[in-house]
Amino acid sequence: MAKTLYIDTSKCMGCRGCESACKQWNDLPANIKGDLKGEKFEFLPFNGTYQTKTAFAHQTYTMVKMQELAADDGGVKWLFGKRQCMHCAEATCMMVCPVDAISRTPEGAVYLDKEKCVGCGYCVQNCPFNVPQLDYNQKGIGIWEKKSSKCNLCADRVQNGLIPACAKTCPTGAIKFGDREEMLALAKERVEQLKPKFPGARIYGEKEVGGTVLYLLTEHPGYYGLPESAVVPWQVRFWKYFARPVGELAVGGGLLVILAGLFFNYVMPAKETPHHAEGVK
Amino acid sequence: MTNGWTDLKETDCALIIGSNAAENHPISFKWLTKARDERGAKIIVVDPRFTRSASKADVYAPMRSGTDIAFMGGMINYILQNNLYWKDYVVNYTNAAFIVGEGYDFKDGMFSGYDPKTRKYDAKQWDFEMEPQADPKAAPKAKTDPTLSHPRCVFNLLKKHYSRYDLDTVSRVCGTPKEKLEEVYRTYAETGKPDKSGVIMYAMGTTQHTVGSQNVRSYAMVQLLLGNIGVPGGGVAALRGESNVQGSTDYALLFHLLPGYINAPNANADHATLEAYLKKETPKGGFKTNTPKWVVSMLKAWFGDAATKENEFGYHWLPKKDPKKNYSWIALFEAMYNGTIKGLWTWGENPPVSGPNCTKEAKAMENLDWLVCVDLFESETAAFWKRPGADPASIKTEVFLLPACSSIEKSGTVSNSARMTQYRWQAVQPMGESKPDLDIIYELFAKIRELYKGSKAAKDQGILNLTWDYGHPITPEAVAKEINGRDLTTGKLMTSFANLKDDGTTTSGCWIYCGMFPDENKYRAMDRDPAEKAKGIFPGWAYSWPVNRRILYNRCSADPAGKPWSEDKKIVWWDPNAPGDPAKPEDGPGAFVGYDVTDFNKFLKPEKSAAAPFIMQVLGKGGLYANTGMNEGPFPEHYEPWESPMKNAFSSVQLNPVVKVWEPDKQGSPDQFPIVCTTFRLSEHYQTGTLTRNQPWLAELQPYMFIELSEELAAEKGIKQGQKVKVSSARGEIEVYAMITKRWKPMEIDGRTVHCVGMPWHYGFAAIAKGESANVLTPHIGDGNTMIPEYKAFLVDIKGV
Amino acid sequence: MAQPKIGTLRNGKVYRFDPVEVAAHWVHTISFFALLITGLVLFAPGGAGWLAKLLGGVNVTRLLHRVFAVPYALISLPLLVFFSPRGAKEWFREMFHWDKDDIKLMMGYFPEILGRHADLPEAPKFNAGEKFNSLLTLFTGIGLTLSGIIMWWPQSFPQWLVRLAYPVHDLAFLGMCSMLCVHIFLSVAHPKMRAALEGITTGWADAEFCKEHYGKWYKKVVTKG
Repeated sequence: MAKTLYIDTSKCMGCRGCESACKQWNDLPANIKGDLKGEKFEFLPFNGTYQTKTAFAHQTYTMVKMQELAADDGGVKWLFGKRQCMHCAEATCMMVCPVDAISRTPEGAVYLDKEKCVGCGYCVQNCPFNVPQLDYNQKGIGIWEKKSSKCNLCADRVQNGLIPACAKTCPTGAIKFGDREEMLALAKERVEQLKPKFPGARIYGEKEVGGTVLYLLTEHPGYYGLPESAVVPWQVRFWKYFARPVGELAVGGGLLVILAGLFFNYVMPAKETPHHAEGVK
Repeated sequence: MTNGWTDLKETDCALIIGSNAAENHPISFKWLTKARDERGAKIIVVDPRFTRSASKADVYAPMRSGTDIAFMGGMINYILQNNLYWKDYVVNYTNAAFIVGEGYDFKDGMFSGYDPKTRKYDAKQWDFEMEPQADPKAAPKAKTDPTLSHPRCVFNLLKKHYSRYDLDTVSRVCGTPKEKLEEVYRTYAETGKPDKSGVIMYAMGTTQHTVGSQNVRSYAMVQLLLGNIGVPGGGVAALRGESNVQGSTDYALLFHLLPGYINAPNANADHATLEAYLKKETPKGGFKTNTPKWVVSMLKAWFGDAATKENEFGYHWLPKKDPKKNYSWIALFEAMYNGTIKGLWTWGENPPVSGPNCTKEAKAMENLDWLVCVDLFESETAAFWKRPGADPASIKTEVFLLPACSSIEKSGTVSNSARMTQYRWQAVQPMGESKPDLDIIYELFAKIRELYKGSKAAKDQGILNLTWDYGHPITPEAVAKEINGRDLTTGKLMTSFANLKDDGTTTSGCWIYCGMFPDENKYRAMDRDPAEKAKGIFPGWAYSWPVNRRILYNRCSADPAGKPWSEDKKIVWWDPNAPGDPAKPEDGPGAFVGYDVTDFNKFLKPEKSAAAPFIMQVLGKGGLYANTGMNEGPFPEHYEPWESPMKNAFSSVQLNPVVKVWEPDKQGSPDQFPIVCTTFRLSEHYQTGTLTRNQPWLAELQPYMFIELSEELAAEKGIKQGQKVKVSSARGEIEVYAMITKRWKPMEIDGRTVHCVGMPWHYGFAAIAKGESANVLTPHIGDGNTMIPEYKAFLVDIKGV
Repeated sequence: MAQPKIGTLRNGKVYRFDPVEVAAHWVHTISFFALLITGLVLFAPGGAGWLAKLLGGVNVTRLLHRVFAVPYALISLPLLVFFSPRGAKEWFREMFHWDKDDIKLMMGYFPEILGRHADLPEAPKFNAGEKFNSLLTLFTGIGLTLSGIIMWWPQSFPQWLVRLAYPVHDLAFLGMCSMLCVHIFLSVAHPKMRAALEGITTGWADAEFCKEHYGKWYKKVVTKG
């Protein structure tokens, strides 16, 4: 049975417990440049907001996007939306991964196996949500070991009967984990409940990219860093369904020509024809 | 909290004021979210800035820091003027009907009885008119007028006092737009109905003012007027600042108390003997009449067999305060600064970051001969001698850093805001040589006693006779048993403080916790039954003092006849058919039953228990008027913070008249420092950040010290987002990042625009995430009752670097 | 020794290409093969795992691919343009000049490849197949280079372009590979055409072969030297 996360932004208060729980469970380092022991280190630069994590990184599988908005009544709104891999039904990363390092777990998560990953970066460039990020480890001059990384929906926890670390730690129940239909039903019920107060309330992820992690958004998806309509990029479809098959067909054709050429020139050569002897006219 | 965390889900309206619950008590929002989604509860946030709590609020109202009493006074006035109070509750369960004596007066910001020389009031002037009593030992009774028509009944004095807090004046003082004020008042006053309840949640934003205690009083009064005390989803919710700060006050980590909120003895004549002390500290009415049982049982727990009737159970071995001296935080550091105090032992304390005017406090520490710091990391305290600007060569203080275990490396309990003591099991082995605090104090005192061995000096006998026989290694359980206490005649553990005696046959280290360890094998702090009985009460989950009661004053949830005021809010009620008191078969059947442990003898007939539903009060009723206990007077009155941009609009008295001004020369004027500043916490950091700023996962969440300011102020000062700015007050100057945000707005105060800003106070020079400390700027002045420093309202100026 | 003029006939061989043209061809060839081999690892890391191991792993291969990309993109064409303007001019003119004969030749070329007689019109310096190969080389080269640059520094380009670079790179690479099969077969294994290999290697090609395959050019250019 496909399981999914359901994130109700109307309940998220931006405490960021999920961010730390994720790091703890997945044993991800802090995003600090330099050596903590050597006293020479730097955090990400100050950006004037509480959202100190502004982009996914190999150390950052999840973050709470924060957005301040001027409200119609002259006041302010402060939106929080916890972001992580969307675990798309039509997962672009899976489509483009050349080594099958990305697969779908029986529970429905899009699982990235770092062991298998060769660091090509295709998933990084093509994810409609810009989720996977490369971890660079220098192995020599100009030689970098790269590994893509992203949220695996705590597949290890889930396969052992637990819920993902972020959902487990969320104090308000803004992050839930369960059967997709059940979560969708919750979201549908919630959106009706919220409409009077939040006219912009909507479900996100029901259809996007074939269905993703479910969101209950109180405002436009853009405020949460989500694309208004998320689909598999056309370039990927062009690549997968045109460029590669056509190109491979062409290579096949070329190889066939070689085989045919060898066969007809050496195994079944033509009878000597006089034209050659006559020379060029 | 009078109620508890889980009870928040039963509320119809939560007024969060002086608290940023979403950020600093995130778990409260687990229950508030339930209340909102399942009950349609409203959440109101009143705060100078738009916080993460405000982002989830139905109503947000900005308020200038330090004007809570004006704000709540306005609400009291609104409730009274519009008859929104719950009359039955007010008449029956509060002291609204009491007649106040003629000594009471209030003129231009001052109550009667003030002595400007001592800066103290004579509270006797505020006494009630009492019913004459034939028996001098009988519980005192005040004269009452249940019709509330007597001009000097509490209700009418209250009405008169707060009639001055009209919407216009309050708006002018608080900077809250009038319509917002009305919206908050209207929304919250909705809870003044029998089937509705509201909770007021507060924290350090309320208490850390020169009028902090009176701020809390004003909340309690609103709750009484609306009948929100003792009912599910109601109460005054003090959200404590640390996981175990409730425990620390329960066990008297305060200079003026003994464990269980009993006044500590002083060197005055009326405390000269145990008898005199008990006479003085035992009121004539209310549950506190049992004080002698608690004190004697405590002395027996402390001094064991050495405590005998003959030696007054070792009463003289207790240290006595100098009644003229103040032992609060500020006073201690003033004493260090003046060289009076020579040694300092800090347990997880970090004064160079947390102290008000912390530059001075760090400087004061230079005068110490020795300093012991028990912590997980080398905090700013342990490293104070090498702080920026200090000259290590000239500092002679000998510093010892003892590595302490973290909470997961040891077992033991913490008592949370819901008075709930919860056991936590050790999860991992301690790192290196670190030890649990308990082991450190255990070994320390054993060593101290060794040093005193053989001494005959009277002053040393307390040290020599203290029971310190917890077994080796010491366990939290051994201490918990001592706290719980035993019946010395049977040797059995006490099951309730109701059985404590004042003859030396029982022990209990802290009476309020008596009953948490009722049996050798039953430590109720370890209970983990997740079942909800009803109405947010989970009686099998750990143990809430007193006697596992989850809602204090729960008698108030039923009418005087014992019938619940409403079906939705019922919690205990009179059942005439329930089996009666087996000790008094003559009384026949009938008892209070329900979901919670009753706050009173459940066999008492309803009319009797209704006479004193507030059992800790001498006169048994909720105190709309506080004739004793509050240094500033019986009604909270608005005074401006020590540093304020405006003259007090309610009277000519600018500052709380009973506070002690420590540093008159360090007061900033609004001309020089026109901006109102407050300090706050972030959910990302804990306290002075010693734990969180050293932990990379948490440090990276908020790695930089910053100041939040409005877009308007930034434009006025030419400050750009993310640049460094200098913030200065009369105490000092710090350089921090500027966080320009829509969440702060300039306020219209007293007819002009006043800018307000705020800073987190978590930062210091040690740890991996460093920053300058906000408390460099805060003043050395404290509340008129508790002396808690005024961290939350002071004046600054700001300029770009 | 002075450079002979193009078209000089000596000892039964015709001087077809000057050393710059030869060098340009082989620099391109070698770098392309190096890119092909390393690229194969990146294209199909799963299937070409053995190859990756041979090269020192995917990470080293990634570096090698970039190393070879530099001569591929930067040497051949400038070499030809700056050091053999004549050769460049001829090459460009020929590949973009298509007449009826070329089309006819193109259409009838397949039997020729299979060693069957075809009545083909005469060709200029480059026959239609070579012209087609040249065009493909030029355009896939541009495509591979541009898309390669984008893939090398993805942060510097808009995302849609980066995403487009992948299929473009693949398509160009596969298209070129397809053509390469025919090209290699003809030059290495085809009984008649392999004479052309000598031409592009030494610059001198068999006169008879030239007469037969590049009739128009032969007539116009070849002079006894």
